[in-house]
Amino acid sequence: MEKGKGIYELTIKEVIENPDNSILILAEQYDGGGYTNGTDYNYNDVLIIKVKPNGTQDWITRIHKKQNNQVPYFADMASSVGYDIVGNNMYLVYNDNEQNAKLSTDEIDAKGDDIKTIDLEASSSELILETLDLANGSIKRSIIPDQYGRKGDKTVVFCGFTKQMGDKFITYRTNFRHNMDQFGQIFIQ
Amino acid sequence: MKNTTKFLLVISVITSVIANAQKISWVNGDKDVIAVHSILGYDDGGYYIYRYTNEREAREAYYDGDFIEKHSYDGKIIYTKSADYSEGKNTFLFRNIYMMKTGFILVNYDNKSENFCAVKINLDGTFSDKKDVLCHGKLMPGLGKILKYKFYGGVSNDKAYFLGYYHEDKNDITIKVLNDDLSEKWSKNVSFPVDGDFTITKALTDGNKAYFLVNVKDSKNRSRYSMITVDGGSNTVKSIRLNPEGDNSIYSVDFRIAKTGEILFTASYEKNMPSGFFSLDEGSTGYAVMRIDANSGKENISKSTDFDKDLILKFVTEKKWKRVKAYMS
Repeated sequence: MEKGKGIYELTIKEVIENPDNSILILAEQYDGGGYTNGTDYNYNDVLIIKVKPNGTQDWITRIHKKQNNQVPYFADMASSVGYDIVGNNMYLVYNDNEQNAKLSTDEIDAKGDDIKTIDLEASSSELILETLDLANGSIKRSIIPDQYGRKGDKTVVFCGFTKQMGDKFITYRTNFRHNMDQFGQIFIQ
Repeated sequence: MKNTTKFLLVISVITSVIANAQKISWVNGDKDVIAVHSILGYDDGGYYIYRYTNEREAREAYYDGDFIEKHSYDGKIIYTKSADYSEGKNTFLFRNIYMMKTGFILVNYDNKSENFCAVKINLDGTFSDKKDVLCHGKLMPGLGKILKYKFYGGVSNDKAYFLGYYHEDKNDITIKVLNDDLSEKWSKNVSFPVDGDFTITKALTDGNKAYFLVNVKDSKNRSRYSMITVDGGSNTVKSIRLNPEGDNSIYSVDFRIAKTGEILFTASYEKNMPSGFFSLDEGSTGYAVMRIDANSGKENISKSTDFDKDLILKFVTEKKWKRVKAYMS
């Protein structure tokens, strides 16, 4: 991702207003489209910036990830992050390569550009939950296990599709092995 | 569907696990749900989705119309409603759906016919009365004439007003603001006071006014942004240059009406370099936030913040950072 003199392809994805008129800017490195040899869609690091009501920065936090897919509709839906705010935390969910899943945030950061990319159709994925403390921007990473617990199941949650509904996410997933799509709910408790 | 799969579906109607104090449940209805385009919204009774096929078990979904579907939180399909609307010999296909207070406004702006038409489906799945159908323009057979510019829409924060606009000529913009029941609140044809080629990046309404974020390319192909305000109660059209970034280039923007009633503009920007040294789009070096009084156009807040070294070093090498620093200082 070292292509320029700043943060390459950083796109503002969402701006969230807090009750105290501070805002959260959610931005993501997105690079996608058609090329000579086909299409390629990359959804990489996420930045979350908290800006005080007077416009000055409170904190900035980076979530390091590398997601890739070649199918336009599928890439948009399965890549990126879903997010929800409950209480004093922001929760973000996304698919990650299972080889990254058990690493801590510091270990992921230390790997830099060497973290494993998840190709959402080819790689085995884990559903990651990042818990972001809105007071100071610290994050805690954990795995949301597949409720079936069957080894070898190829399930991808459509995190880009996820919608916040109060204290839960409504999301959608597809299970290639069992040829089955489902809606799901992730409850924050 | 195979019996084994049906069995798995039955036993997985509601399955929950506890994971790090978060609970995840997967909820499935009577049949597979495929070809879901988006989740439109929700209320106490469930959530609304937009699908583009009525087939449920075919894995290779094909388009056979647009459907709004309501699901209960325990996984039951409450209704499936075709969003296609026919009037006489004409069938309207609605590819863009907006959730309002009391239902959905569906707009056809597929860029292939010289018309704008909006209909409404109530939250209970019934079509609104025919009198609510509002059409503008002349229907064209087949693919018809391709408009130079697309039709766009947007919904006010309170979901009470819908803004639609299109422009067939460079500066000639037709604006319509509709109430939730599809009646017209106001309509205007205006010229934008912008010099040079421009594109409308985003449009907003609070019911009384329409706000347009306009991107103008300067002679060096740098993006410059202005906000055009059109007052529905008068013939006033104001233009304000949005310049929080100084002489830098804006890469990505967001534009919205804040809860305070101010216009909130955020952007990521790239610090400019001496001419000919670097090309554009080499990466964002900071971000900007502006809060603008919606009535007076006064800048209440205008602040640009460069990303610090530690952050940028996660994306570039130390060698490149030296060049970054030279331009950020």
